[in-house]
Amino acid sequence: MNMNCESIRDMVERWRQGETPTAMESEAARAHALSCASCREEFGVALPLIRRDAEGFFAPPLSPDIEERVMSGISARPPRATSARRWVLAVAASMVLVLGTATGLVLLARDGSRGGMMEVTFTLDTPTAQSVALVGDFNGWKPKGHLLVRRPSDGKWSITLRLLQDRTYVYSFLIDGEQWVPDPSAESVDDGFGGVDSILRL
Amino acid sequence: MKVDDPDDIVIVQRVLQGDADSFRIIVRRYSARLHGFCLSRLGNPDDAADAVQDILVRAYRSLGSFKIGHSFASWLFAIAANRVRTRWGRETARTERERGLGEREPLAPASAGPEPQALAAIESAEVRGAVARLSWQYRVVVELYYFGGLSVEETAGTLGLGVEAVKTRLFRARCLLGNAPAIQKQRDGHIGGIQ
Repeated sequence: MNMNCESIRDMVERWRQGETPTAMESEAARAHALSCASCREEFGVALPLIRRDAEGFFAPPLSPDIEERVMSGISARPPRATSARRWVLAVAASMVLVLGTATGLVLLARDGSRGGMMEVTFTLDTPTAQSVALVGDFNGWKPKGHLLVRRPSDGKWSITLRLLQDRTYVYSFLIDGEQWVPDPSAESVDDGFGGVDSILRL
Repeated sequence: MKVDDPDDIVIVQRVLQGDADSFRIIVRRYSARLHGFCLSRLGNPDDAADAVQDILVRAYRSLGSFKIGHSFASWLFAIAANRVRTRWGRETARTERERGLGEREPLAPASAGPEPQALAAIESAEVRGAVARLSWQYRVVVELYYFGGLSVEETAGTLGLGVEAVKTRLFRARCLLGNAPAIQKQRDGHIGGIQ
């Protein structure tokens, strides 16, 4: 199929009025424009757009390493529940803590320092949970990096870690693998994704 | 639907259940289209690739806020539209001023093959410049539909518009973008043209 300046002008006008040119017309128009400076001048904006309408979407080339770049960026942390849900959980946890009943978050640090290390006990009172993980930068934000154990004595979930002194750690609790709960008794920090993490300074 | 080609909702559910590797399918499915959209706004392929990475990582982090039953493409491109406007917008505006966006450049060299032609067209300061001069309500629709490869329905979902409203805006945008004299007037600084 061959097109000349006049037939391209007619095609562009029909396109402007809502008609979709055929793929053959679009291809022929581009072929003509490559060797026609006048048409490139007049239809240089319209022809690439007509191509999308007539021939389908054409994505510009993208570096193949984008997949690994994205996956390396997300491997450290799993998706989080919505910030609204997590705030509800945090507020609920705080309220129950005040009332001293079912759920509470407590952070204990005790002096067990040896060689610049300190033992820190993280405790969470959440009777209905099936599992509780402590997830933070000290374990690469792995969801099962540090699983808390339910204490037979009081039913609270607990874990003790040895952490370096003079460091600041960012962490959060992950309940049943899906509910993120920041520590309401600790300093909080924006996680950059619409949620909140907790901070521990040793 | 093929077994090895699950729809977006199935993939999202898998990821939310802890199968992070399934997110690769989302990346493969959408990175090129996101790149087209970001490239139309940012102009520079490296900046566009960085933006794609940023958008997909943020989308992963925010998957918990995605409402099952809605269009995933619309949700993803809403994040993209917001990010290129905020995180990347200021830098782009500065870069475009430095580059002199809108200066005349050839659509493609005469010796270029089909793919380089298309790339040159999208990268072309002429095309981007013409789209950038549209008023915002037309511009974002054109960028999502023509450069992001979204359907009319997905574009409507991204912007919270009705399908007919998107069709109307595309129609008006085509009238403006296909009108070479109007583009020329705008390019030469005349009042009127693309508004």
